[in-house]
Amino acid sequence: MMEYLVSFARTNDAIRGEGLLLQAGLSVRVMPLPSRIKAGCGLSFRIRPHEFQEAVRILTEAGITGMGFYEKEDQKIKEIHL
Amino acid sequence: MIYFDNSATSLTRPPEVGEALLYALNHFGNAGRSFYDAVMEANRAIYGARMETAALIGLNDPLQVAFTSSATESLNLVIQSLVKPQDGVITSITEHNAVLRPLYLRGCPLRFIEADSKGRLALDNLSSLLTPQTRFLICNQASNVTGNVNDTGTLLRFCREQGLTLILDIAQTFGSYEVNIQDADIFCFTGHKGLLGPQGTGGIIVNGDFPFTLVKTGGAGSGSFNRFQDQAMPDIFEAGTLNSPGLYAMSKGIRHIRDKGVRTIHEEEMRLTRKFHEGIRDIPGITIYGDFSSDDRLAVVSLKLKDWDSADLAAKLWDDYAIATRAGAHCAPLLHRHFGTEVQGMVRFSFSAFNTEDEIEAGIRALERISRS
Repeated sequence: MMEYLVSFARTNDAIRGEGLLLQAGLSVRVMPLPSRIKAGCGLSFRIRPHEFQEAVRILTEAGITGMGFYEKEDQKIKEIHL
Repeated sequence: MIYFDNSATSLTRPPEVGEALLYALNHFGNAGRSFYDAVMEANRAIYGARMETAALIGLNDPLQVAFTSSATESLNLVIQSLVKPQDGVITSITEHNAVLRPLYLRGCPLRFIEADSKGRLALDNLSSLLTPQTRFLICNQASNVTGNVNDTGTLLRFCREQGLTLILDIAQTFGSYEVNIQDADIFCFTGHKGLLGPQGTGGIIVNGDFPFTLVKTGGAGSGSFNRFQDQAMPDIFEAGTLNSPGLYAMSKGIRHIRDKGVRTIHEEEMRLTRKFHEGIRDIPGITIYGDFSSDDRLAVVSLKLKDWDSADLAAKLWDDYAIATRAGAHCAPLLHRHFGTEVQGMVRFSFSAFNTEDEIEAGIRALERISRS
């Protein structure tokens, strides 16, 4: 099943972001950052496809910068540019 | 026991502080080190502590709060990180060793603000302390000996006029007295006094951009292949595992303070302090140090009795009355030298809003009896 991944430059941004997404009623699942992705924070978020755009909007409007976005299906990861 | 040593550490705390500490010990993973529920719970608790701390001081960005183990560690880190050995620093004779010793260690040239007979800072001629090298003013917001609160408005204006960075030691004030983010550039605080948290907590609050250099480094839970950890706030000061149980508990203390209101807490403490001060000031042989002309001060009364060694007086209070106080020099050597009490010391009574009028009356009676002995 395809899902989206979000990576973060800073761990504190990820923690703040998780709170914002949960507060908005989105389901966010946290996983370690896959080793092939390079980012400052060792956490990444798994977001369901139908909630992805809303999640990106919330995180961006919160002023979180340095995020990376990816499509993930099983072990395959593809970066996407928004 | 009657606990009158609240300037040293809080002892009576809201029950939720201890409950949070116990909860965290049994539920928290290592914050920032992995991803599962126990870790994320610790992450959220620490971020929540940043938010509570920021809200208490009126700071918009919680990430400008870095956590440490104490005000002492905070002052060491900030001074090592920001002050160069050739930078001139203005400080005061009322400082705690947590300010003085990191400055001595840094080896930078120091100029001292003097104090008057009540321990009030002499702020009318600050310009005379300037040298071409002066870059910082580093001092407490309130003395841990006299309880006098310094005029931070005057200090800040002077710093702005002269292009100096104002670093405030708020170990004695944060949680017990109004502290606002606009009062200074950098604040160093402890979590276990006015904030009612456990020992081993503290932090640095930054108001603006400053060229901090890395003075503490190690594991940060991410960027493992980088030579050093992230050098932005708060990561620059947070290498190593944070005290997440302590910080979570501290956040409950701050929540209690915010719910009750700092002003209300201060008023309650000053009501007790006034009662105590009025009850003892005329006891023969007692000398009280500090400015008690208004309530714009802390709930601290330091005194000596005749020629009693402060250690003997504190021991007598404890042995015969179960009253806990603090004797000696209170880690403030220059102020004790100023008052001529470096040998005899003082006995410090410091109150919290959890003290009662009955306890205050017991303290007054004890001093009356001891003075007659």
